[in-house]
Amino acid sequence: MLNKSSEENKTTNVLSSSLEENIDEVKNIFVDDATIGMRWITNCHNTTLKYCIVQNDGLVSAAIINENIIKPLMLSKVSLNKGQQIDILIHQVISTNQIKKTNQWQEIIEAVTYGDTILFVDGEAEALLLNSKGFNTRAIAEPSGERILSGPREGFCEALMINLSMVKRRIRNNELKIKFQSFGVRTHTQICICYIDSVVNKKVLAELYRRLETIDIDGVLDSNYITEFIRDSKLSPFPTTGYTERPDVVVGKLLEGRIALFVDGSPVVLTLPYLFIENFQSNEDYYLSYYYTSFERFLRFWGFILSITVPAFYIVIVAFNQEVLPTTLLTNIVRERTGVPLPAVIEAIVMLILFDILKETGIRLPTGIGQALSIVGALVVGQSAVSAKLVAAPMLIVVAITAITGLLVPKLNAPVIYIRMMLIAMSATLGLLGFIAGISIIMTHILNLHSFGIPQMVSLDNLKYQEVKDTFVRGPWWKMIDRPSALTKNKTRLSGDDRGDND
Amino acid sequence: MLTGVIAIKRLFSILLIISLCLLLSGCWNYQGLNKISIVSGVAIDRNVDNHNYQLTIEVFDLSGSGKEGGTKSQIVEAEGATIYDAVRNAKKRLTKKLYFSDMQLVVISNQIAREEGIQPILDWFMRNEKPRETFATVISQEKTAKEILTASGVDHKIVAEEIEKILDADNRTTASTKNIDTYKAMNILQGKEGNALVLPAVHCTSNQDKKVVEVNGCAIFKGDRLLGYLSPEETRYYLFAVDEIEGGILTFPFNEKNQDTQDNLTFEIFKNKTKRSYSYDGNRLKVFFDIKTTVALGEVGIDIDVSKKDNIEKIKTVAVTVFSDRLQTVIKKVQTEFGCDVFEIGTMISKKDPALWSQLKENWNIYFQGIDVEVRPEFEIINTALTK
Amino acid sequence: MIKQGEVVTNERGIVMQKEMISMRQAICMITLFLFGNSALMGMGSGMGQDAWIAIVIGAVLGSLISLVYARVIRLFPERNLYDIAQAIFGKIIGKLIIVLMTWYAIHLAALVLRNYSEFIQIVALEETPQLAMMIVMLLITGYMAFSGIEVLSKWVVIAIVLVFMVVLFTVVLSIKQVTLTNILPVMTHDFAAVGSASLKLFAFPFAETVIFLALADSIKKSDNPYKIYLYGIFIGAMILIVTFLRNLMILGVPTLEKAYFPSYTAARIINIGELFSRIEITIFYNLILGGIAKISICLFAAIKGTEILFNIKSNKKIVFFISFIILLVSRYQYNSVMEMIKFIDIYQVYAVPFQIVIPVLVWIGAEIKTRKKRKTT
Repeated sequence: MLNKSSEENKTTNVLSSSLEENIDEVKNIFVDDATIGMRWITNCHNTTLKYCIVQNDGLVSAAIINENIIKPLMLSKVSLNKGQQIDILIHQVISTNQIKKTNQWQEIIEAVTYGDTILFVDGEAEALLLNSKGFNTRAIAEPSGERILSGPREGFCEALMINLSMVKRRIRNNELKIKFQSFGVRTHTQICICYIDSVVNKKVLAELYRRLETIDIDGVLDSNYITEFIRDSKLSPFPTTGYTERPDVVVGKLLEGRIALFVDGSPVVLTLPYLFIENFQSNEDYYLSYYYTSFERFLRFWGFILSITVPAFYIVIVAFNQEVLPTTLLTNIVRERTGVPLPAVIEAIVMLILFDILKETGIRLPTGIGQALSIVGALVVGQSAVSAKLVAAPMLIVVAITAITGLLVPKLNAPVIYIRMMLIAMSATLGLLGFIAGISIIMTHILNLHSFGIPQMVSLDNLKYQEVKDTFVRGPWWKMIDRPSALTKNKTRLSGDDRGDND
Repeated sequence: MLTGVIAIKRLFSILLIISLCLLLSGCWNYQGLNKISIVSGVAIDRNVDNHNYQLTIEVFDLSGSGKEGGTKSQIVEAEGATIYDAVRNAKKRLTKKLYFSDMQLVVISNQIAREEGIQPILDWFMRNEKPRETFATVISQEKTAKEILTASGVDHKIVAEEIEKILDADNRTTASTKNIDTYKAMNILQGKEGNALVLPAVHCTSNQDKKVVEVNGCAIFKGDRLLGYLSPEETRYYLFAVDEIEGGILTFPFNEKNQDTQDNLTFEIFKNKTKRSYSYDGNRLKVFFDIKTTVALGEVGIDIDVSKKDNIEKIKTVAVTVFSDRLQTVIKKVQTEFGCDVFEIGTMISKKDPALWSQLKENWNIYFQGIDVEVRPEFEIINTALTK
Repeated sequence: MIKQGEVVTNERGIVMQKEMISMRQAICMITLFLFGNSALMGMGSGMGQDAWIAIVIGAVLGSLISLVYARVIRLFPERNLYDIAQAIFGKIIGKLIIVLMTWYAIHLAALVLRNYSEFIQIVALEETPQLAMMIVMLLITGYMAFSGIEVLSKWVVIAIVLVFMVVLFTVVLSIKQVTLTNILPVMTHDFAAVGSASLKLFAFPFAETVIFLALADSIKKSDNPYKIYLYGIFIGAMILIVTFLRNLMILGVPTLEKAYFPSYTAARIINIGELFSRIEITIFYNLILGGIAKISICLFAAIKGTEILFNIKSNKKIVFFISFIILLVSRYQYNSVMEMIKFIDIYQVYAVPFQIVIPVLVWIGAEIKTRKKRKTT
């Protein structure tokens, strides 16, 4: 009979008023989970008041439970009547900082698995969710992927609330809006949507909510899972959402009207919408002298272009249009290439793949061996290959330039590989025409990119002085970016037009 | 959207088609560097026996590694009924394809230039898109053009490159020959301005018992046939007349006692500007060359104090006289011996007064022979180097 | 086709208006359109050193006809030629006009494509079959036409900046090679000859800007079409004249007349200090950019015409289909380069109905219709 009512309760997903039934239900739900512990408590002054707390070993802080939950429950002198205990318990007895009452089993499951303690009260059809989180997280440290020379070095860790705290501390304003949602059928991962109300683009926000509703997956472990569901141009290798591990970067982007997406369990925060120029921007640009950083941006931009085009262009010069080279250079290169068996294309592809292998190995190996191996690999293999006349020396230089410039812009390391190969293939078949064709296709593709409805590249004819000053080649046309902001060397120009219409 | 098996299959088949197209058809124009033989110069002769063109092609020899002291050159000979034919015939004895984009020199034997004219020869070089139109064409004063390319250069091991570099620097250093890009030469040949073609001339001399090439004045053409040569000294005065001189040396005899002596003063030319003008009074054409030259007195072979202003003036007067005489001699020589307008006078008239030119251009060559040219040189001596 | 004021949700899920281009973008499109083919083929047409006068006169004539085009745009703002033709002349004649203009766009694209593949074959890729080159170029232009006019215009703006820079670069570098007197004597040819050369230049390229009427629905109502056309033609003519003068002064009249592709030949001669020699590769790049732009614009016009004609929505299949037609026309219209050059004489006459007759008819019809409308309202 008990089971039957539990069954009924389960189908209706609400609690029953009987403590035993509830606890049986808990045991049923968490069958085979040995870490869910239960503790029965009775009030010492009124022994008819029975409670039971359910806690998740390892996620809870014993101190909080002992001091703030068990002790007050045991020692409370407050008179309580059955059927009306919940509110009094909340307001007068239990001294945890967050309490929520619920009668939904789903909420209880989600709360327990995150570190909350559940308090079941005999005679009440509601349970209390008490905040007792006490799990360990990684210490706040500088993210290894985004090192800078000077500036704040805080980096996100895997706990959502701590990450949010870092951001909230930097925006001491009530306009920062924070909303939670959860995704993942099995993991119920919390994500947090963050934006500054008076500057955000409302259309983008609406579009974001619309897209989030389409997510259907069983588990969300990292922000990249979310990205791949909600991004535009799903087939393009170029990123259309930004990612970062630094709170100062997130705040900077929020101030320009972007939306930040935090995912619990991942230190990587998404920012959207994302403009193409952001691939080349780094937060360091605003912390160092603008002369230096303008030059750096220039280098990054050209590094990207070189990384894509150098091998293809080399093949064009060497195999199709040799007249580009001055005679002395031509004779030198010919001399280097005599005796080399493979045509330049094959060499290029093999060397590039080899270099990528070396780079990948260098990342995965434990430090110490990694560096030595990369250097040894690159130098020795390269050198011996040249001496054995398997590879021509100019090709080594070309590959070295390509690979090193490819490291300048980490956000574009995915598209660069494919674009490079595509350009090599096109140049190898059709020479200069193939090269130009490839570049045109890439340009068209990049111009086609959108991020949440906003084109990633603005038209060159729309540049105003301020926007050119702000970002390297293109300034976003999107009105929000028009707002003066420390996107560049110049100090903030925030004016009082903050209350403008941002709909 | 790409969901579903059919769509995947479609994508796959498209990719397969594209890659097949690329791979199977091959890269038609892919020309690996080890398959080309870089040409630096070509010498053209006519084989008397079978009336074929005989080409002597100088290519870069890049087989050795660069450490053994500079690039060497190799000679390839070829024969054919036309130039293009000969070039392709060369492949009968070469593994690599001849690559003309870096060709810098074409040497034509004076026999072909005299008897047949050079325009048919140059046509292939201009028409084919590989040779660059800026290469130099020279006339060989030796018996054949081949001797020029088979001789050696003093500096370079590659003769064609060496000649081209000498020609390039010539009007700034020696001013003894004419430096002209072949496309400009073709412009003159095909132009309607009565201009006569002047090409550099090259011969062989001996340097330390080795045969080396040397630039030697210029060759004068009527139409595209060779008429004769101007010696290096005469060429220098010619260059003054056409305002192409930018450096060089002028020597004069100077003698306070007015005796005939050897040249003993040397002017070093810094700048020169020749203003050419003419006057036509309905009957006779008179041409004026106003030559203003800035020089330094580089060498004084006699005992004279050149820091004194009077001496400088005396030197100038002598220089002016001698210069005018010598230039007039050259002009007269061209007018009488060659009878073709190498001084671009016709061009000048056609640009300034097209109506007059249409009158005169009918018998321009004959008319040219009777033109009166007045030479008005002026020297400005700016320094005398280190000593007085 | 997205009609005026219609709001659609595209596959990106964003509710968007019809794509519009700004005035500057439109001017850049016209300029690059004019530059594309003409800089390649040279504008000499036998006039020697006086061809620049013919270019000027041709540009003036082009501006005159463009006033007609601009007026049509003014009378029916934010609608393209096909729409307007149907609105004025009704279904049948309107559809006929659409067919004719679409055919013109296709043919123009094919002509330009053939020009370019001949050029590339002679200059760079001798052994590659022209079909391969044409397919590649059509791939690019197809992708661009498919991406929509906004992307096309952004691409054009980037391309024209590069083109400007290269032209400037070559002009500056050619100082050493330039013979200024090459331009003299002026006007050795009589007016009749110059006049006929100007007419040739009018037909190709200046009056080809009639194609833009098919894209006119992306020009905002508030922009002045007169300005767009006149600025575009002016700047385009300027660039062409500068290019021509540079070629003339470097090459000299006989070489200029004899060369099929004078810009390319001129660029090969430029040589400053051994460092800046062999820059013809940048000219090559320039010309290809111009060609891609021109073919893309024509392709776009043709696709729009087809869509309106058969009432289908824009998708990959149409692009593919039209590109294929262009490929066929391009491949089979001439047998050799000589025929291609000769065709320009015929083209002068053949293009008249498309460049002059139809637009003038549409203009007259538009004037009548708007007057009627004004009377009734």
